[in-house]
Amino acid sequence: MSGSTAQRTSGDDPFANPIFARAASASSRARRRRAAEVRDLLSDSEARLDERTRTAAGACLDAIVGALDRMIRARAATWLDEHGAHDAGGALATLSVDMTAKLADGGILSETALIEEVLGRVGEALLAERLPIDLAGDEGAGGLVLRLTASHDAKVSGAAHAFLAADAARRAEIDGEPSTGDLPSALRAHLAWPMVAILRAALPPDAMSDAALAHAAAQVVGSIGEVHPLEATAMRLAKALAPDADELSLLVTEALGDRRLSLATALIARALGTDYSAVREAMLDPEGERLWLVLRALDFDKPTIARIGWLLCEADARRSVEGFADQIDALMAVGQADAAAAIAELRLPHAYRDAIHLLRQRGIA
Amino acid sequence: MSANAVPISTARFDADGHLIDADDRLAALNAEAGGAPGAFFAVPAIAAIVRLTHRLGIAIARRVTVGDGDEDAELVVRAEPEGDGVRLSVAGWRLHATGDALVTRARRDADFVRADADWLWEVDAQLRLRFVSPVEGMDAAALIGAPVTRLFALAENDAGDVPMLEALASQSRFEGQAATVRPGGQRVMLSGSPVVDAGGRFAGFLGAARDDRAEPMDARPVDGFGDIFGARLDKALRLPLGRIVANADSIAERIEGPLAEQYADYASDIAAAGRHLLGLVDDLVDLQAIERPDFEARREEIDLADVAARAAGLLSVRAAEAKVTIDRSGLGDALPASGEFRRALQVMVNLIGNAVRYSPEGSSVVLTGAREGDFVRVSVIDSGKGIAPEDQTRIFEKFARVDPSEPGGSGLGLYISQRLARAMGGEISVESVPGEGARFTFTLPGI
Repeated sequence: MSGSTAQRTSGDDPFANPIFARAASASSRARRRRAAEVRDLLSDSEARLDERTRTAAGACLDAIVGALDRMIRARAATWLDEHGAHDAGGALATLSVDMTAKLADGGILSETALIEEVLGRVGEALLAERLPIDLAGDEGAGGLVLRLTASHDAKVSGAAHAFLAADAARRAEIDGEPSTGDLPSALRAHLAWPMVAILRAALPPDAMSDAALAHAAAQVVGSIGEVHPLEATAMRLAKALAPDADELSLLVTEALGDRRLSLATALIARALGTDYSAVREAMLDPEGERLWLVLRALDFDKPTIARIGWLLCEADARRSVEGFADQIDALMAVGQADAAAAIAELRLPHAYRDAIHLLRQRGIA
Repeated sequence: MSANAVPISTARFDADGHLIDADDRLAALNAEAGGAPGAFFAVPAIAAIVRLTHRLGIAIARRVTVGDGDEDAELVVRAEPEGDGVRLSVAGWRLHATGDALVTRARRDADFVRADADWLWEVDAQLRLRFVSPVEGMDAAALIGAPVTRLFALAENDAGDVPMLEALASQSRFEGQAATVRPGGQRVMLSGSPVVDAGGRFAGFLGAARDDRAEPMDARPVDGFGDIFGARLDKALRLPLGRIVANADSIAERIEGPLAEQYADYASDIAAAGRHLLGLVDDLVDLQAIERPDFEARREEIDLADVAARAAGLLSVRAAEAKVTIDRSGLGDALPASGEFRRALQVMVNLIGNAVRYSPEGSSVVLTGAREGDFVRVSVIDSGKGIAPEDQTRIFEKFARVDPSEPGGSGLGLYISQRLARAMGGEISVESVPGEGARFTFTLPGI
């Protein structure tokens, strides 16, 4: 477009000048920055992330975005190749886009559910890393899960193998190694569509590329079963083990002693009949009361609750073991039925809990 | 050597936590700390374990470092309920020079192992794989639970030893284990550090594998900081430094309990020094980024006056501590410019931060802004000791310092700032008369 046309256009329509578009986007970025600054300023110091969690969460988010980016590009490139558009495939492969920065600029990464998921994963991995290894009663056996891989029950040994693989992949992801992109499909959809839109904006307009990107995003969103999230494999192992009440408390403490926090979480979630993330949240909460009530609701005895509390306090400097010891007798005085009633909300479906929380926050219910 | 191989000392306590009896070694430790039979154990960390065991009603184990003469002893203390009282058993008695306790060493070893790794692995005490980081062309996940020898064919060294197996026998750190990766035949060099459980038992190795075909790290070109070096440096330094800062902050804030004022202050100093080092890591990572041939800053519409005001805001605490005021009244109206917000802010923080550092107490750092032709500029004016004409070019060089006698600073700040300014189509210039202060001017293309 020639300069005179641009001027004439801007004369006709004062908002056609690109500076307005840039100013509008700069202003929304500035608002986001300001909101973040306000949150940071007003957040109380206890709620602030420690440096290790912040670094690991950043690495984890980057790794997930990187994995999805690679998956999308690989699928789109294959599609383009299959349809004879080799040049467009090449352009897509060599395109350099700072995907995490673009998604952040677009506000896509500010989705609460995504951040909760990342912080949940990182919090869980870091807590697991700090759990004291406790080989008590298991010396020479190499830990609970390795032992389960040798189980005669093929369901248990298969699930234990899958769990170990997923656990290793998760640890690598937290350490900043490439991720498998194993997000729940809702979150994958939340990221994948904006990602193809970002790729699209960086490519020359082309119907073939559009079709390829749409195909790739749909595949990535729907590719359940291709990657096995740690949470799902842990739940599968818990289901395969199907412990009775006595075995359950033993398995939970052994899983913690083996530093397999996610298996302990899954065992409790299954016994409680709720989802993994509800128990993970209670497990990571340094205040702990909800978890202690959960354990009471499962009728765990004092030595078991004491062992679990001790291990978690040793792993998390924010928790006070003396404070926990102060509480334990009062906790044991709570009856199983009362404890179950107190945590009844935890057993509701995830979306239901979110809705209740939202309405409560807004003072409606 | 394993903690289990060392004789175990024992003691018994009554329901109130008072010492009933102890063997010679523990009795001596108690007496040295001013304790006696019939009272609480005089080493607070051990008394706390006895009390917790009693209150929780379970056996617990913890590693405890105690002063034993001029050296620190690291003890593995295990306490279990016995009747109404508590029975204590203490193993370990490992002696280290003060401050070099087992746990710290194990963690540090692990960080070094990480820093040197192309990929990581972890095995249990039976050398079965607990973890393998994902490696291209290998189904690492399928190997979890298998003996380590399924993954690596271990080679003997020149002396005919197999370092990993030697280390297994002595439960110590090893390096220089040549091996071949069974799936694929890649040659690697392995190193590892032992993992110990809360009871002091050997629980396996945390290990690293380095591609043996790659040049060793120190032989890689350091000029321009190769990507791998940068990534490793970042990973190797950031995690341990983050841990130092977080722990020092917890100590300074007395999260674990009351602490004498001067110790809390030391912890604040440690946290501050840690943050300084993190800042240096950031500088080096920036340096690596900007020296890459394809480095580009984003061009977005920013308001340079607003950027300068924000930078001044970020430095207001530091300025108040140095008793320097930052006068922003000369910034005037908006200065729309083309540049990357984050990078422009980084430049302004560097310039204003330098000015605050070199300003005498009670003086002001003055910020002025203006539009000049196609460019906008912000000047940062201080009344410090100024910069001699012959130094005015040198200060923008890599690792140069405005005043080499000043402590702190990496000597990279102005170099990075100038590179960033140029990447955004701008410039940083300096004017100064020695003894009368300096004026640094940051210009960017106006919009």
